[in-house]
Amino acid sequence: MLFGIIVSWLSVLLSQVWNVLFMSSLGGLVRGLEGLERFGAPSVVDLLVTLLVWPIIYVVMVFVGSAILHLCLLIVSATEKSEAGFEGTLKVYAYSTVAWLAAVIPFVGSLVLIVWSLVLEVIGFTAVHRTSQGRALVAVLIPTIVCCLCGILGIAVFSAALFGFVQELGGKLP
Amino acid sequence: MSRQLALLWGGVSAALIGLSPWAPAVSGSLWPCTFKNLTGIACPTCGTTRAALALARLDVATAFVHYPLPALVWTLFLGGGLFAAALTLFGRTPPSLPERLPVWARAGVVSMLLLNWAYSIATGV
Repeated sequence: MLFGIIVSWLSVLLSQVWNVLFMSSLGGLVRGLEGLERFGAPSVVDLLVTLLVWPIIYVVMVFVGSAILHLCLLIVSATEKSEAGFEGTLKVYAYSTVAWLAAVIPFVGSLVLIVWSLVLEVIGFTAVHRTSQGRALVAVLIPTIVCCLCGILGIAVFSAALFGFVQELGGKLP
Repeated sequence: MSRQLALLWGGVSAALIGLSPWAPAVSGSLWPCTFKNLTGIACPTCGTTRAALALARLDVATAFVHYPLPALVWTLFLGGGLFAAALTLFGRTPPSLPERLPVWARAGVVSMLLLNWAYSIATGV
């Protein structure tokens, strides 16, 4: 858990630095668009508060996330041969936080993080719960499909808006 | 369930309850559901955050009427954590979490999720 706290804290710090560097200018381009009004750089106070309370947020997030994933593992019968139980799921989920370091990559860091986390979780659950990679993959994808449908749609809308803006800008150039 | 896990679960529940007075301040900075914004239909997990916020301001009736499943899950999660930690602190062993679910239980979980989604769409959550 301590490993996860340190890694995710670093990741949050670096991603916020990227936000401050890039989003203050990029945010102005998309702020007028519906649903993206709050898009922009975080304030210094937001940044400091986030970093201070992050360890508590992280522990809560990992515990709730592990509980959801463990339920999904139970639904697909991936824990039938397991001796690790919920503790195993918690450990894998906490160690997969290492993927958060992908946040250092600007722009595509979040996408790399999602894929890397999924891969680590599948490998971890396969080993810890002695299940097949197929079952582990299905279990890991259930919350991603149910919850991240919103996130995927959000990314699609943002990309479309950005693409439209670039095209419009291209049309205005001599 | 191990003593360490029970205490961790209790700690997480206590942290969530302890942070609940600040929940209304956070609610303004949360992103609206993109799926609902685009389609006008609630997503399967719509209402989970609002149920937590309603419970945080002790508006139990709103939480259970508008977001029944998320409110129930949050209540069981918080109650379970405090119960497990209390048992551990009093020197008793909390009951173990199930290692496997029978088919009827798995079907029940999926049905509850689908019913809750249908309820969210019907009530315009």
